[in-house]
Amino acid sequence: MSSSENSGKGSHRKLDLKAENYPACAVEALTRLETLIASRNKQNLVMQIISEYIFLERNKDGDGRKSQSLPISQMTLCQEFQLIIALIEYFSRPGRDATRNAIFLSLFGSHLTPQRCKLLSRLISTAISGSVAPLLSAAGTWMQQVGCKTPHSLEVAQNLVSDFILYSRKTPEQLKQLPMVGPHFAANFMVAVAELYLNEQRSAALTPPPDALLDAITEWMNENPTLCQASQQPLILPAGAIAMPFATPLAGLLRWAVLAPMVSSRLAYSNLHLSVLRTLQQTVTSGESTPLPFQDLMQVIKSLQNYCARLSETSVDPRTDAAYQKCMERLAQAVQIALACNCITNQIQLLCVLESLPNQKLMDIIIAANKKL
Amino acid sequence: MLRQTLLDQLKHFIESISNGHNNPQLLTNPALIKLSLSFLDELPSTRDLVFEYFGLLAEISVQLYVSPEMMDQKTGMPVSQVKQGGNRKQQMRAQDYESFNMVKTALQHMVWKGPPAWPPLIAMWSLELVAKLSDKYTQRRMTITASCNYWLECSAMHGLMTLINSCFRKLTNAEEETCVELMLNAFHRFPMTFDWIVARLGGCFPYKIIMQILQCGIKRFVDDYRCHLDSEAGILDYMTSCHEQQLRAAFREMLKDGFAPKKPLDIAVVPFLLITTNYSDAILQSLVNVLVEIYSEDMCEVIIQKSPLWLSNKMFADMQPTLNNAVLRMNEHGATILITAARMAEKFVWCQDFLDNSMQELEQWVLNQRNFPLLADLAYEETKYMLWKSCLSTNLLEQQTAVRLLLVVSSQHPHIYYQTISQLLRKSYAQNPNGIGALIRLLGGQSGVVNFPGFTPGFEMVLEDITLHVQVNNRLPVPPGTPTEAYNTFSNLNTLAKMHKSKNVAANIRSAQLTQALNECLPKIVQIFDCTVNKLVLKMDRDAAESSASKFRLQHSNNNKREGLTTDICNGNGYGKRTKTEPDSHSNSPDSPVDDEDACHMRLAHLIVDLLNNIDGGSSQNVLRTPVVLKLAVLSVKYFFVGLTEKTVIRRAAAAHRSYALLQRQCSARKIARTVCLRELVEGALFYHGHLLGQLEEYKLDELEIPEHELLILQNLHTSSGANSNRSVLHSGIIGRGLRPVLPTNERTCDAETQALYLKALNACCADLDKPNNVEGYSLVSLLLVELVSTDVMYNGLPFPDEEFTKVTMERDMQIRRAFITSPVLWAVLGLIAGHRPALCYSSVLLRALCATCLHHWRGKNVNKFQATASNDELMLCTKKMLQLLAMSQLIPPPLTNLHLIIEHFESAEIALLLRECIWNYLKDHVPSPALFHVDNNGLHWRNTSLAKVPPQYVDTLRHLMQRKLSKLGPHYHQMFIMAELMENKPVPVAMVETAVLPVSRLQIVELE
Repeated sequence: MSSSENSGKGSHRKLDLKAENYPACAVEALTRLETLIASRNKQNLVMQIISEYIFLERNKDGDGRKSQSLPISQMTLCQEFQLIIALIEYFSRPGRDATRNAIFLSLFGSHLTPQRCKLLSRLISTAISGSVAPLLSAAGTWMQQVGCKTPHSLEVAQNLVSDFILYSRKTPEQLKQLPMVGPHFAANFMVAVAELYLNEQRSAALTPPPDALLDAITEWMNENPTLCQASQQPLILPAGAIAMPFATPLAGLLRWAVLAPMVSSRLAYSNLHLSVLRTLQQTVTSGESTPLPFQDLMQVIKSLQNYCARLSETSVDPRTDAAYQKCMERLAQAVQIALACNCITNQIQLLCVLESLPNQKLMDIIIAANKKL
Repeated sequence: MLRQTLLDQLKHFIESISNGHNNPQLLTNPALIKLSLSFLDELPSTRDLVFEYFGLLAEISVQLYVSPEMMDQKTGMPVSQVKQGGNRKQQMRAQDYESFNMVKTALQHMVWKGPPAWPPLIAMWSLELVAKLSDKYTQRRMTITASCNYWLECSAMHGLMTLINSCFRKLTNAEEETCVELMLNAFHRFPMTFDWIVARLGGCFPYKIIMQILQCGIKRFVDDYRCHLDSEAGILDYMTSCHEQQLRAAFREMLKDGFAPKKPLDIAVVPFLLITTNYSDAILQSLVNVLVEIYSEDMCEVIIQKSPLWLSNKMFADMQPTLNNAVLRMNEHGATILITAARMAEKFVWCQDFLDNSMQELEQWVLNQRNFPLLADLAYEETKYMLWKSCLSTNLLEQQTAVRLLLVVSSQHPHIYYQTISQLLRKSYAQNPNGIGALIRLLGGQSGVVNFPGFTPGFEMVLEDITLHVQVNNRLPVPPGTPTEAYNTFSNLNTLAKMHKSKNVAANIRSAQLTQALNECLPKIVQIFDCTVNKLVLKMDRDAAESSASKFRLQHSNNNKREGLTTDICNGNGYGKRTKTEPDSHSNSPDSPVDDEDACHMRLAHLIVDLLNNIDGGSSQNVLRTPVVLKLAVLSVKYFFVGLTEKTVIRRAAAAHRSYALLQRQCSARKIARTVCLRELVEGALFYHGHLLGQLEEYKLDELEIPEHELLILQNLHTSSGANSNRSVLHSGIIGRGLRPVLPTNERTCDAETQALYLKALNACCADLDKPNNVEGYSLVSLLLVELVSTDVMYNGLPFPDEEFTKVTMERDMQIRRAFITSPVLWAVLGLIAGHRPALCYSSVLLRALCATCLHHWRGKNVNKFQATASNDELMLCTKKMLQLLAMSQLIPPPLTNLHLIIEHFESAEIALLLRECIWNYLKDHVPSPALFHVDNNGLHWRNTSLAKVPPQYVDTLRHLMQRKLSKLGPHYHQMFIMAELMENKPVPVAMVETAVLPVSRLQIVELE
């Protein structure tokens, strides 16, 4: 209400920029943003327009700037979908990637209220259903910039899993084709999803991923061996923006493969493991980051240690426990390949930690072999 | 790659929905519905939107359902099946109305076949929707059942409920929790309109729901004790019909907390539960069921201890009146509660209050003929047994409560009344008099109730039962000394009858009815009496047979030892010597089961007779069928004889007195009874039960080893002519067999006591209370004696023939004489008859036989060498007694009346002479018949002997003989002849010898007066 006057800019005081004729005003706002976004000093105005005309947000006390509370959107579900359609149409139009990414980041980058996050999830979900590549590409960039393991990314990933896996009778074609349509997004999505399951840091017990999800990811990996490197592609960002470091899903997926024998005996995990190993083999390590960060490996080892502790509580020797043996076997294989490809940074430290685990034949051999070097 | 069509479809869909608010037809377009359903698969992100749309569809349907537009014009009810009925306008809306069905089918398919993520989603969505719609469109408050019926008619609502139901079946435990929580939240939001949904769906997880509802009720109750708990109670009530077990479990759980409060909330548990019971009978019933289940003495303590806590709740303090009504609302365990309260009432005043109020209310309701659930409870079999048990309790309050309850139920279920009477009669006994108290109260009936059942069927029932018991021998071993049920029953009946007689209690028990009822049952009582007495008689006969057999054996061996040594037939030393009537040969220990059983029978028999006496059984007031009359008469006599076998004098006397009353009542009431009684008595004394009265057993003739064809009596039949034909009986033996064996010594003479008892029995039968001088009964005895003792039908008339003629009848006379020897009681009987003139006349033939045989024997003595006659010789005794009898009965006049005093002083020849000249000849000339006697104004028969002068030919012989022995008989002579003459001739002294007038002996005057 009053905020539009506060802006003091006559240029966008136009008739069609009225909240009353909603979808039109959002479309109009988007086209205006395109021009505004380029100039650095109009960020506040941009945020205001987005809040008022795109998300129809109002502050509870009527004064947007002073209030600490989050603004509340008054959109109905219908309006949300109208916005979604508008956004999809906007992104489907030809245009500069950098601008589009910038707009996407402006829309969902900062000030991401729960409502906006929900809308984001719906938007991406609809884009996947509709195979809207440009939007997915922008979403991929958003994800990387925000960070694949941040709560917002995880929420989006979770909602996507619900939409396409939990609530669907069979895995939709659109999801299967996601690596082709939006490889960058697919890779980042995998990182987030990998974080959600079989992760002792998120939940006390190890939750295996839904079977359909596992199957879908394994298929992606098999059919697109380079998928994991997709995130390494340089980001197209507006001038002056700093690209965030990329993450590969390898570490997360390796955790799945290694820890899976504790909770499941599905064959798919073996396939996944194989794909992970293959991908590792092909990895070209660049200087700045490795596909297998030491912290991720330590997380796996920690879970294994916990498992051993639980076993000894029930007085079972880990050396006789088939599941543990299998876990260690997979870990050993991965470690060996990683060492060979030079993917691991703190080799000595890693080997020492591995040695402290209850021993396993293959692992013993690998440790012994690598220690000599 | 862009799926433009999909996005277009989405666009179209959104457009339709946004515009559809004003145009429902747009929304209910089947194509749109199909599109939305396809979105669920194709465009998962629209899930929320699609469900919102479904909600719109449901709302449209519900709107139509409640709108007057869709009302059936005739019934005013909403049209549920629009397609079949309804006007055109309504049919046009049918599509809108039914649109949700498609959604429902699709979603249901999703629930059954789809991934597991769907059911919780659909369940929660449906719940929310139902709650919202029900709240929005409920126009007025309805009961839960009515709400259910109303809303389930609506197809959308029904569809949603079905969906929720199928979802709930697919849920995991954690999801269930969430759903329950959701449901309760909705319930909190819309307590008035959501209750029917909770009640309806509660069945999916009853325990959780019930527990939660109770918890949320109690919270509200704690906040405000005046709050209305209609919804909570309604839900619980509705759910009780199918899920009583869960409700009980929940109550159990809550009471556990309530009795051991830990949280402040726990204190309110009991008041809250009690308040809740006010809302619904079903809840009350469940709570009571739980309470009865977990109740114990300890719990009672806890309740007392904790009750002040509960009283702090204001509501609880004012609840008393509602609690009273509570008992009437139970159709199970109501009686248990009341009895339990009665047990405690001694200790706690409030229990007493509760009990009083409840019972008053109860009886009031019965008086008003209202029906209430408690009545059904009271009519249960189990309750009946419990109440019976309580009736026997020593706790008066408990007992009286039980009786009152039984009375209450009896007014509706007479059979329970009968059964109770029967039960109490059987189970109350002397050691536990409470039962009889209960019975008396019960017999009093319920005052004010019309057509209260009578108790005759109850008596009949118990008597029937006992008949079975008595008839069929009890196979189960009973510890000795325990009174049988039969004993209890009769003891109790007796008590009742006695009470009826005493005037001060008679008012409280419907006394007239009681006697009447018992008299109606008389045939049954007689049947039982029959059984009992017959058992006793059998036992008595068996004992008698055994004892006589053993005695005979003993004597036989003695005879063999002292062969040739003959003993007197009767040495007459029996009188005054007491011999036991009971056998001593097989004296069982008194505790042996057989004896115990017999003692039982005996006691029972006494009781029955007591009862009969108390209710005046057999009196003329009551109509009885002849067979019963006859049976009772026979049994009374049997009982008399059985009573004689009692072991102590006092008991014998008591038994005899009982039977006197019984006999007298019957005999004075009915002639036929008298006939039968007398016959039975006399027959019993002479034949069946002679041993009791000192009868001399003639053992089987076989012992004499006389072949059948050689029996004298048979031989005599062939030799009916010839000089000796009629004397064969005098033979002292059979050629080839030696002398006749003498009769065994009669050691068991008739006991004076039993004889006295027997005579009194006869007297009781004969005495006529109305006409004291009526001798009809005695005459009957007299005739009976003739019939039973005299074996011949010939010459049984009254007149005495010529003495010569006695030869003809001598054999029979001997047999009669023998009867008097074997049955000494005959003398006593004749003595009794003699006292009641002219009854003895009818026994003339017996007197004649005695006289003839004595005469003959005395004469026979004369023939042989002189024998000094011992004073106790049988012949002498017999003569004396006969003379005495004649004198008593005034058949011989004075001075012959004194003959029996002096007869022993004469020689045998003289005696024979006297008997012939004085007695026989006198009687021959003055036939002993009633004609000799005058009847005075009082109906008394007597013979004025002072007028009937004895002609001298009958006395002269005596006078001469006496004169010869004047030294010895002087005083007698003076009294017999001189005194009489002096008195006679006082005014005109004449020569006294010829004109001696027989004086009336003083003794007889006294007796006559």
